[in-house]
Amino acid sequence: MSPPAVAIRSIVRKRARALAIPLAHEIRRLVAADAAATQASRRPDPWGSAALQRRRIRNRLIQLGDALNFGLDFDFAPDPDLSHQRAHARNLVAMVRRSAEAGLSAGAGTVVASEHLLQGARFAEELVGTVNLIQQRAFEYESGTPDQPWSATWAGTVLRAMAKLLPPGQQVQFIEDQCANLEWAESRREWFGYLLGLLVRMPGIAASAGRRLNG
Amino acid sequence: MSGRGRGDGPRRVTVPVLQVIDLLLTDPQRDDWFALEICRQTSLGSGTVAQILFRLYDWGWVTSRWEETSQAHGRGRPRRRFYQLTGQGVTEAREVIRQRFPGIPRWAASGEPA
Repeated sequence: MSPPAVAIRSIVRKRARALAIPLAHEIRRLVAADAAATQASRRPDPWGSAALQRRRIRNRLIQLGDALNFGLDFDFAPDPDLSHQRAHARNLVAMVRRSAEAGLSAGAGTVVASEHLLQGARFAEELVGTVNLIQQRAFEYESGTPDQPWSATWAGTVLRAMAKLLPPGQQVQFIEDQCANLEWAESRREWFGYLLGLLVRMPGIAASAGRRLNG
Repeated sequence: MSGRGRGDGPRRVTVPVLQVIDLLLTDPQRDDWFALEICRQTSLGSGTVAQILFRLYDWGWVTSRWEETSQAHGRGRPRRRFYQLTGQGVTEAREVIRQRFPGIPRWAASGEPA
């Protein structure tokens, strides 16, 4: 994984998030504007601000899809949780696009159009949360070094070195879990025995973890 | 790691694996088994238990969840990963034990511990 590629993907995911945040707001504004126009019995102006808003939403949807296509194409093998989040994000993009397109294509100000658009807005909001989660988890993978107090302890340092044998996506979790187990040791002897047991079996653990990831 | 594993089923049920599933079956509903405690109860080494837990997860016999962040990080300590047998795990583990130890009354009849 080359550092520039990692950095670019991270920036693109941030960009996707930045596109998704105002999308929901813009869709809601459009629905409100359409409703106001309908109430005033005005015909939608094809060159007015609502039409501009429609074009902006369509453009944003295209940019969002492109950004996530690239940003979610990780340079590492994600664990099942992250894979699930990625699939969920892709589904959400498809649903935002489908709902918004259905709403934009239906007659402006109609109930059907509003329902589709509002559904699209809800999906867009959910997408923001999902991209946030992905960004956080992907950072853990890509940084490779957990920024947690326990990883700086003596045991954490040893575990971090051992965890290098694991697939990248499992290193941070392994370190935290094993540091936690060591915290619960009732004696120095148990603590040392636990750490030594991991050390001795680390190649086997790495093989099991790799099988799980690639299975 | 949370949710189900995605392996294609049991492969090598070794004696240490049997020890771990025998322990987990003592309380199949319990959802807070953690590695160190399994080591204590089975007298297995931590590396062996870690490998077994990966394997059981892969088979779909256990699920795992993290300890509540507020309970752990809030006190400045790392979170433990808790394990629990899945429904599939309970059924298949009991069946394996029953087949491997048909003469042991604890498991012989129905797979339910006495």
